[in-house]
Amino acid sequence: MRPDSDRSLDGLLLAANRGDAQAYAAFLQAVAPIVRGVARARGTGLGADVWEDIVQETLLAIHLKRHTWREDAPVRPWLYAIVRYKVVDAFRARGRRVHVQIDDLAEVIPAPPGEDPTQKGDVERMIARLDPRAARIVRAIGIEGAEVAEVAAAHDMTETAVRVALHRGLKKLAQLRERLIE
Amino acid sequence: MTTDALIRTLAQDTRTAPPLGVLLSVAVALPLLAAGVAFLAGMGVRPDLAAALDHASVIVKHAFPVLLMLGGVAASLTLARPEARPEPALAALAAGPVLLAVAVAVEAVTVPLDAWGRAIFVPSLWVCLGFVPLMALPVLFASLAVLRRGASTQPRLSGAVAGLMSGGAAASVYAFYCTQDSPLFYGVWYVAGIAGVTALGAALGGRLLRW
Repeated sequence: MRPDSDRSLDGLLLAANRGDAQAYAAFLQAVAPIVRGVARARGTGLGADVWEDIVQETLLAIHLKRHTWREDAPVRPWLYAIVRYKVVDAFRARGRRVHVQIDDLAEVIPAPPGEDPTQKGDVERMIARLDPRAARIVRAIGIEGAEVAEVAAAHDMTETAVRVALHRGLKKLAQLRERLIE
Repeated sequence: MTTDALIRTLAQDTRTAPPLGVLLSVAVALPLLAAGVAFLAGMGVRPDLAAALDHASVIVKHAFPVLLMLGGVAASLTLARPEARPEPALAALAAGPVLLAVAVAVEAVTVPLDAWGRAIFVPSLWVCLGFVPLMALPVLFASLAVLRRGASTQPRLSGAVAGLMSGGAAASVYAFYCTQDSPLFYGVWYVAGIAGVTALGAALGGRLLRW
């Protein structure tokens, strides 16, 4: 089912915590269909673009809270707790009450992205509200696929400064979400 | 931005965070040290401290706030993990209140009813009601700032526990000044101050600890 079935989620996140960006991307790629599956199962009638917004919000939250995972504990209970909290929160912000049980998450049918994955969703609107430099950095890395080193050279910044700006930009996105949607 | 693009962006953000336990310990210790040193330098440590510590009721007066503080740190860290079951840590947090309840119960059966008022309504109750919350506030603000990095799925409860911890921390310093050794006194006024900070923590936590 998962392209990375040879490496468990635990192994991927562990490697990510050691600085392995590829393992981390694989971890998030494996998590996204689970979140999408929950959003779709609970959000009948909301539309694929809203499901995808919920997936993106949840991935952002997982990212910003990833240090709360204790490496000696299994990753799935931690992951499911975050997914449940954020999915319920995302539905509440859209005026819906949903119940998500941890057991449901273990059994959710992972869903691939829709035919037309959202380009102009909430995250895009939030990026537009970042300060211009942070927005350029987030777009360069995400949409143009640039490496941190290239962005640093293009903006005459050190790599550390780019990483700090990227991290702050992502934190800011999560805060903007709170304000924009509610 | 597509989900793939978002994942690409997130994967490039490889900054790691310092452990929450270390940050929270500092957030409790530093403001407490600053407020405590200022308070005790200004108001003074009770001169008969060593002799007073021979009495069980004085030991309880010092011990129950310390238990609240330590239990509060542990429970806060547990609550900051989204998947952790908080019940054991919350049960451990009850150690301080149980100890206090025993001391109050013993005092209540020893002291005749008509003497309770004299034990409870002492003029210095206002000093206690003022300084315990005052010293607790910087601890509460600093610890909430740290706990925002956590991922509590129960923000109000997390805030309340942070308030309990901060109130306990403040009372544990205040006890070095306070010469009111009756459990009836500290069982009412320490508890009132700590309860106020706990309520404030719950209200602030409900807003600040959501994510």
